[in-house]
Amino acid sequence: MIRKPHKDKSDLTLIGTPMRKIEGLDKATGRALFTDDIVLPGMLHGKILRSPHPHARIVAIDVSEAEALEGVHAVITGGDIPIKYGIIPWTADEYPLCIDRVRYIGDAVAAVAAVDEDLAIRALEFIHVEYEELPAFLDPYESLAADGSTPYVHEPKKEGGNGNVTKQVCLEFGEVDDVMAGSDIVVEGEYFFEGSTHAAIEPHCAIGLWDGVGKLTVWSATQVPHYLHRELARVLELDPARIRVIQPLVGGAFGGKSEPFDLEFCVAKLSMLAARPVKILYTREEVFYAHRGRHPFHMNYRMGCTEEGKLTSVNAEIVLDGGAYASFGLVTTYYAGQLLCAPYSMSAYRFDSTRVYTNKPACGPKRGHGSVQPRFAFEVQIDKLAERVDLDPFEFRRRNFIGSNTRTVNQLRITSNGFLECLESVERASRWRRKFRQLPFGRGVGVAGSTYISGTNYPIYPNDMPHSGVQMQVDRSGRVSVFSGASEIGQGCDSMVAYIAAEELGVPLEYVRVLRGDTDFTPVDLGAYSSRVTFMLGNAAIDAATKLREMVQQAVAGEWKIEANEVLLAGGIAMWASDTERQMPIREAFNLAEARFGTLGATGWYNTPKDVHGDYRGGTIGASPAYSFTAHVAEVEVDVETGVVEVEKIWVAHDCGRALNPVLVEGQMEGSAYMGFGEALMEEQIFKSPEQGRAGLHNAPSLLDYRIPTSLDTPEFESLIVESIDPEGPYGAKEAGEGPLHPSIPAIANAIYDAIGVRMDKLPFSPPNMWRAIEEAREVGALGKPAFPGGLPVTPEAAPARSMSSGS
Amino acid sequence: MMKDMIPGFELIQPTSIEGALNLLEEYGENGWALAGGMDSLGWFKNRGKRPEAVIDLEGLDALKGIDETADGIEIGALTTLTEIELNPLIRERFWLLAEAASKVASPQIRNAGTLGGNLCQDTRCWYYRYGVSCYRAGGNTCYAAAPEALNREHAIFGASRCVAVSPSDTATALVALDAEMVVRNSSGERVIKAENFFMEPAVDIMRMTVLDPEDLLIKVRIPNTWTGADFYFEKVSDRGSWDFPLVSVALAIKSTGDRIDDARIVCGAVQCIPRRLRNVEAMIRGQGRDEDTAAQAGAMAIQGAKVLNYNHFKIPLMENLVKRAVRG
Repeated sequence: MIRKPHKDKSDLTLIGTPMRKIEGLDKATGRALFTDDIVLPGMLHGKILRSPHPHARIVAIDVSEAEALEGVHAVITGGDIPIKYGIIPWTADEYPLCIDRVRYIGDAVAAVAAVDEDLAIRALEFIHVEYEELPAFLDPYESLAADGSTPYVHEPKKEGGNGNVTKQVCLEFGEVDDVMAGSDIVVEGEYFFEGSTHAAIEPHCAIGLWDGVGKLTVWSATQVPHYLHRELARVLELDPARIRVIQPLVGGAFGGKSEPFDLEFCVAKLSMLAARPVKILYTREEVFYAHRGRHPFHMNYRMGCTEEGKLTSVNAEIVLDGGAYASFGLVTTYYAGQLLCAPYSMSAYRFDSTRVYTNKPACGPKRGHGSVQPRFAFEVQIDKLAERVDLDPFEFRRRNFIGSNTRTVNQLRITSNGFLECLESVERASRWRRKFRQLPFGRGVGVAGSTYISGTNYPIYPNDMPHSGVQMQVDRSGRVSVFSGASEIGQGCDSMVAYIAAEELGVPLEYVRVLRGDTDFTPVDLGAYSSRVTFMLGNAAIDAATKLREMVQQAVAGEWKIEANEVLLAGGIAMWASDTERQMPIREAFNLAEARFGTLGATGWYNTPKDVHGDYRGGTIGASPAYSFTAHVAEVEVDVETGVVEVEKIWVAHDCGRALNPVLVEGQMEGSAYMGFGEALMEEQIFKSPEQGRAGLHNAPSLLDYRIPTSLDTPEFESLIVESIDPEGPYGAKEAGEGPLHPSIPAIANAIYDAIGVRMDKLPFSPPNMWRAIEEAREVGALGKPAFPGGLPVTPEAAPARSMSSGS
Repeated sequence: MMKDMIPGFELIQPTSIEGALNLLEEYGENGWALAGGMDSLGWFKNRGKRPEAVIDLEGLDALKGIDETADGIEIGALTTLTEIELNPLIRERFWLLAEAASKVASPQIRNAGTLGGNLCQDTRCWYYRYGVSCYRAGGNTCYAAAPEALNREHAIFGASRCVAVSPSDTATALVALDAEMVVRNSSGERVIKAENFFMEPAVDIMRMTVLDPEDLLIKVRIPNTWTGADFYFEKVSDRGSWDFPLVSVALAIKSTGDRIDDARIVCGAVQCIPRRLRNVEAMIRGQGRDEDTAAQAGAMAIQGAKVLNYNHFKIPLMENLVKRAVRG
């Protein structure tokens, strides 16, 4: 939906230049308020009692002793909130507190509110729960094979069905088997992607305040205040007009706060009972139980190509280990297949993905939702195919480039596409042609590419309303206020709307206030997920700002007796395009406009295109107004005596359409590559198995034992921004927050292969796992530098550059 | 459940060593000596240990600092790992210890963590840490040695019911340097060789060191025996910047020309105590310091190793690290 023609780069004054985040100084100095910083008069502290069993029936709960403790103001159990919630309307399967069954170690059973945190913790010890333990499903294949002889994780939706299956999707485009049979080369591989968690710095936190006469306010560290608003109303059976959700600044989320959680319902209910505000702050251990991190994926990929290196047919079979609840699982199951059909074209594609329940913390969306795992397998497969047809993996990828303004094999509409430029950028910057297959044994380079959505064309609950709205108001002082319902989770969306307001209305950035994160005074934005915010909120902000700008231009034009489109607003002044000496301060321009049009305000909104997907069940899932593209080159050093992989550097090229603020785009690119790097090398979600006594218990619910890279482990990154100027994005922008994560992992895997000739098809590439793979390769004589494509040691292009470097 | 929150305790902050020793004697099993807190606070936070009284040693300035003595140096037990890493005297004479200290955990932890704490810290076995009733916790089973147990980090030597390993990076270096531990309690002082300071589970499964509850490690003495030697230290871990070792090796070696005169080789994280490789030391004495000797040393180092379900990788890792160390 294009309302206004895009400005050329030469017309832009602020957009495209490096700017600070508007809340950056507050965050750096500690002034910024996060949910846990908020203390209300008379506030109580809540704690949640959690299940010690992976799967059990709740036979009885006795809370009387806890209730009797002095200082305990309220105790609730499942029966107090007996309505299921869930982010996807069709798969609501969680109670705020379990009623009759617990499904993982950490499932919520009861909650207390007490005068302080210590007492709340102690009160939990006075709640007596009688459980009848049930056999637990911990392995996704055991879940799949279940026959109902022991209770399923959830009741089957259909009589006789397997209640352990959340969702199964099988979609085929083209004649996969025939095309595969006709392919010159077919490569098949088994891949395992270990699940991972988000590890946001801020643990989940919520405060509930019931005013006693029917209004509920909930502060929460959430990415989705609007969906939380809806679910609070539905589950607590309250009028949504009497609920206010406030989202203070959020200390990182990465998908881990993109649905309602037990604590939000609990603080609300506890406050309603205690008639005092109640706060619950998760401990780090609870964050690991709440989880919603990346699903472990078991993947089988078969892919064919011609002798010339043209991709023919792709067949994927995927089992997703979903944990105890559905979360976003329906979408994850689709994304696992739907988002793999670019940036390469293929004539036939089939995926069969099944998400199963297991008695472990629920998996959900994490940065690059659903497609990071299959992208790992896919890009390693590409590397294997390229080797089989004796092609440089860059060349192989170029030959299969899908192009711009086209449709994928599954009928998703691709508009702008800068993938070739991304490939070229990383190839050149990394000096690929001098390194690939030519570095000494133990050192290697690898490449991978990917694509990702800039939001989804369909909201989570079906409706035709805009996906994002903005309200803007102009003051006589020159100040511009932007009312934004979008969720600032550190990515910079508050800054982004401020940049747009300043750009369009010609005020200095300091004149713009962003009033945000409060459902009482901001229009609806659907939330910070699926990389939708810049694209949708940005367009909404341009829409609102343009309406105001036109009023100001008309008023000034009237005063000067010129045409409105000759009035320029920039840098705090209004001026005449034909004679820029003719100026007035922007404040005066605003005053003229207010005198002419009355009090100045405007709303703007964005809605998505609805006709750009395939006509099949599920065809809308994965449909996005625009797609971003990324390519990485990773350079690694592998120590075959210790199994230690050092990632020396990752070159990241990303097509974000247009970088509205290149500093923030680079931050997203580096942050994404960092996160993928961590998953590749060290992150592991390990649960104890039945033989060990505490089956289903998370082995490492702390940031010491669950390893994420520190700054000292992090490789050097080089971010290369590619701008394809999308026809529908705000000033041509697309997403940058999630896409750049995807290629990290396969690029590192491919680099390890280039270094030592060992394929790593299972994550993570930790020393013990590396050692096992190295030993296997050693036994079959495969440890060594793989052959150069075409048998030539140095490509002609690389030869002169090489001699230059040796001379310097 | 409900871990991750520190329960209340009585905090006592003595200002003299005598005061601290009296308190340790008074509280016995119910007291807890707190140095940098890097291990202790984790225990408290996970509610794995709930001492009645915590005796904070922070005020004992006499236990801080590095002094030169007639025949070596003395390091106070409360000296931070960062100070040890940066101390010019240690770097010059006992680089091995400075290097080992520099590999402990993260910079922030080294700034707060002390040498005494690093030596006396408890094992990281995550079954034991979770608070299950295993042998080490006074129970009657070992979870980590069960057939399907997650025991990547666990011992390949010296297991005796418990298969936990020594997590300390500085311990290996100090054993290799023939250091001595000065231990005091309210009735007197004793000096213990570093090699004998650590406790095997076969002797006492519920302790990691010889220290009794009323004992305090006062200082560490390093004789000049290995001044001027060649040193080698390497630690392999999952995460380079902040982690416990999967396997580590510390070597001190003296040669005349090409001949090895004497050496100490100690491996960490393969046994419940720092594992000194006496047989390897004896074998390489008088040999040339070359590839052959290194290969023999590596092969000998792993003799008798016994694997669990997931720690097979430790055998070649240890072999390769010993090989590298001897090769130099």
